[in-house]
Amino acid sequence: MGLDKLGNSTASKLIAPAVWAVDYAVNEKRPDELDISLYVLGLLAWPAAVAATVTGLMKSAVDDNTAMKLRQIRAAEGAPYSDFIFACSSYFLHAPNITAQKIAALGGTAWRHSNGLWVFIVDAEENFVMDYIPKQWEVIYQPKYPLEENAYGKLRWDIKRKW
Amino acid sequence: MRRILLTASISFGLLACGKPTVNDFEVVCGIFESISRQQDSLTEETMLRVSVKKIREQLVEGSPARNSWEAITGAPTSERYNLFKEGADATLKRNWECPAMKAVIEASAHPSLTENRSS
Repeated sequence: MGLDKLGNSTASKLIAPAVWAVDYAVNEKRPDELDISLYVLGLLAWPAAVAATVTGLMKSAVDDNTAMKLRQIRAAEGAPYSDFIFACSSYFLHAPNITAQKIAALGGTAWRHSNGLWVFIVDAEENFVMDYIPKQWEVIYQPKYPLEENAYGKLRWDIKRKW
Repeated sequence: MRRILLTASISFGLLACGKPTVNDFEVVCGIFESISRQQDSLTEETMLRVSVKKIREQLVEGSPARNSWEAITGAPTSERYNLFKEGADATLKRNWECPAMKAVIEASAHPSLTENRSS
């Protein structure tokens, strides 16, 4: 939303009182209590609309930042793997490190690049890849060989850290 | 005029008031606190069985805390508390700690040590 739209939105708040003024001038009719209540409620909701807009702008900035970091990681890993690497934040609505835990427990490889983004890799059939070794990583979550499922349906997995 | 203000403020109040909730990570911490109160030491297998059962009873399937703990059952014992804490920190965007959970997990890794201490 640009400033110009914001201006229109503010101006729109004056339409109802203007209509009431004309109605009173022509017909001597006053707005009833319900009209005024709804108008006041609309005014109160205005800060919520502004907050929603600010939240939307912040989300766009975060998405752009994620896309930029993902491009860095894909470039570092190179072809033919780069097209099959995705941000953990795009897979599940949890914190990316929890999504990485889930992926490892389901048989996939997830890692955190030095730029801070958690990513994972799939094959051409969109299955998780369990033995991929990334070129640049800080932390890797990966299933442990021999593969073994526990009583809760999760594979045993391991953690590698660079420090 | 009073009725106008009353209607508007009740409507706004209904919109603004959400149900206060205890976050899921605190629920998991509460479960580990109750486990630590009930039993001095558990084997790793029993600790996992009891905790997963209680977490599944108390948290819905899509809960980040439940998903995290279920995934962590496959991780090395020595990493479990830190992994869960890292997920809680990232989700809640603040430092999260649960000493009872840490103690129960550590005791389950070496149940014989705890038994020796308590005897």
